[in-house]
Amino acid sequence: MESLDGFISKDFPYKDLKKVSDLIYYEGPMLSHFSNGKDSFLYLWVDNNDSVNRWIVIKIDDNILANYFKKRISLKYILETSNTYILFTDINEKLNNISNVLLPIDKIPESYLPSDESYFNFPLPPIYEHIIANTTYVTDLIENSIHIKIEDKNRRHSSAVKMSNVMEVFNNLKSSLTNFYEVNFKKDFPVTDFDDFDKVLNVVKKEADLLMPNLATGSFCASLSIETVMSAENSNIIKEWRKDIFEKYKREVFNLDYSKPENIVEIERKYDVDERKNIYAPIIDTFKDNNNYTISKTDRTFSEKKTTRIKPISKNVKEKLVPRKIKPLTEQEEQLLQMIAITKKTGGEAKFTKKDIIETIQLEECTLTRTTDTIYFGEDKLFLKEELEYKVHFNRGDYSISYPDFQVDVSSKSFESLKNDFFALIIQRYKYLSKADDTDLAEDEKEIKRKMVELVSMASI
Amino acid sequence: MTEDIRSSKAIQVFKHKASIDLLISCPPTNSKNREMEAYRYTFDQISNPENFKPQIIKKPARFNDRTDLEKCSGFGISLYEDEQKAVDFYSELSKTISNIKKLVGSHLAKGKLATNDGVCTDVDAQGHFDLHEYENTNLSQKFSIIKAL
Repeated sequence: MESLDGFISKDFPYKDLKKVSDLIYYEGPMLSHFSNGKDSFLYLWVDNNDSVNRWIVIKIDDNILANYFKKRISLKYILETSNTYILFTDINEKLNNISNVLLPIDKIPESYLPSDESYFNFPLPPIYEHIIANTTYVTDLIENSIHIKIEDKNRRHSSAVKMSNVMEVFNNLKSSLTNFYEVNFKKDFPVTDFDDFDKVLNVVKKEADLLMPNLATGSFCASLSIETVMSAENSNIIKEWRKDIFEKYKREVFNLDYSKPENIVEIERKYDVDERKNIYAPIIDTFKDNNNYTISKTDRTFSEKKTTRIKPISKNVKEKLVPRKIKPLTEQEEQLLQMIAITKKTGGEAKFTKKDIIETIQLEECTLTRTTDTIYFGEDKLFLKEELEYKVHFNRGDYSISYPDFQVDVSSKSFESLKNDFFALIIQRYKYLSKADDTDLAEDEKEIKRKMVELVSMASI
Repeated sequence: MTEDIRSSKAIQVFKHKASIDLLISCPPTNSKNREMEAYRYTFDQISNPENFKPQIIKKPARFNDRTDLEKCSGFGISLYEDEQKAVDFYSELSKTISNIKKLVGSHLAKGKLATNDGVCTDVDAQGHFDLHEYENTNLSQKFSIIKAL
């Protein structure tokens, strides 16, 4: 028999225990339920020698027992979450507790521990049917809940949590859940399915109100669930639909792994932008890093071991789930964007967002420099020996180009028209000047002709 | 072939008669003599004296409450009528009782019961029944190990 290096107690600490029933029996008890009317315990056989049988004594309650019988929790889970110290008692043939040792839970010999699969797969003694019936409703709620822990970041008052932080989390979750109900209800049921679709939808949304079947104060922990008992008004179809909707919410929203790209793709496929905004924006808010609180997922017993901090949703994922709304550009802003995009030589008519030129758009006046190595209008083209640099002025909605060397001044409300007008005028001037005799030209015309000839390598007119 | 328990009682004496006579309805009145194949958990050697001891005579008897002393099954030998059911139940036991091998053994033995070995209780949903042996019954000679569990 294993030796136990723990705290020895001379007497068995619990009095007046009577056996309620054996839960596992094979040629004698292996797992038994004892009670003194106030507290309940499980006795689990773990070892023996020639003179004693050794039992682990685990304190339990009706909820734990009901969950164990319903195979929701294993015996190992009950043991690990029962207490920091576990009581071992050695009982001899005369049924005396010969030795009683308290051992830290992490010191339990491996050979004594039930497996992870230690669920109750044995005949249920009939006397427990009432426990299952009485605890089923609340136990079911707790079992199906989202379990959370909220902690203030600035902990001035030990582990107490500000009410405002708790309310923010609850309101966000409620908003997300109600919207999830509405979005999915509208997807799953055509309007023609009900005489008064909106009335039915409102009833469904009311039943999406969060319940709190379990709570632990100190560090604020709560189990959040929804009503499982359905209103008699609901048709069978809706009752069926409601059975799965909260599980769907947990899967697609609260428990979703937001770091997996395939999950985000699936959400984008299922829900449009507005639907995603209604469902996911409150969740993004709840999980974000700069809140005054942290939020963690935990289990039904609010065990420290099972509590993990929820990571904020990354910026990239946030943008995909709830893209920021961009105010449509005016036509002038579009043109200015296009002009600046080309000026930046980004390789074509690339689309830019308002952010790229936000200062420029806010300017009432600006001047931009553009270059071209070809001047064209219609089918006429002038190929230039070197790039022609010209300035585009923007002033309170009017575009203009002034090119003194060719004595060209054009203006327009549209940038595209402006460019066309500018090029057209240069080509027109070239056509006239290149064919004209110098003796017929004024001095300034001769000068313009000289510069044009110097610049143009080839003309296709 | 089955025989009336009362007529068999007249001929055969139960192994732990003195103790079971103190209990009410032990063995249960609907127990019957049976000729059948049966399965039992044993230690790795069929000759191990612990293999076919009822709980009441084990040292120490695995009881945790006085009410256990009043249970008739403490005087019986646990058997299974079906090999797979025996295997399945052992599998479930081992998930919860980590030290099960030390307690009931690590192997499965098969044997053939005769009507003069004792009386068998009704078989339950898990395929389990108790044999209350007659005083001259020696099960270790009727069983042999068929597999490790």
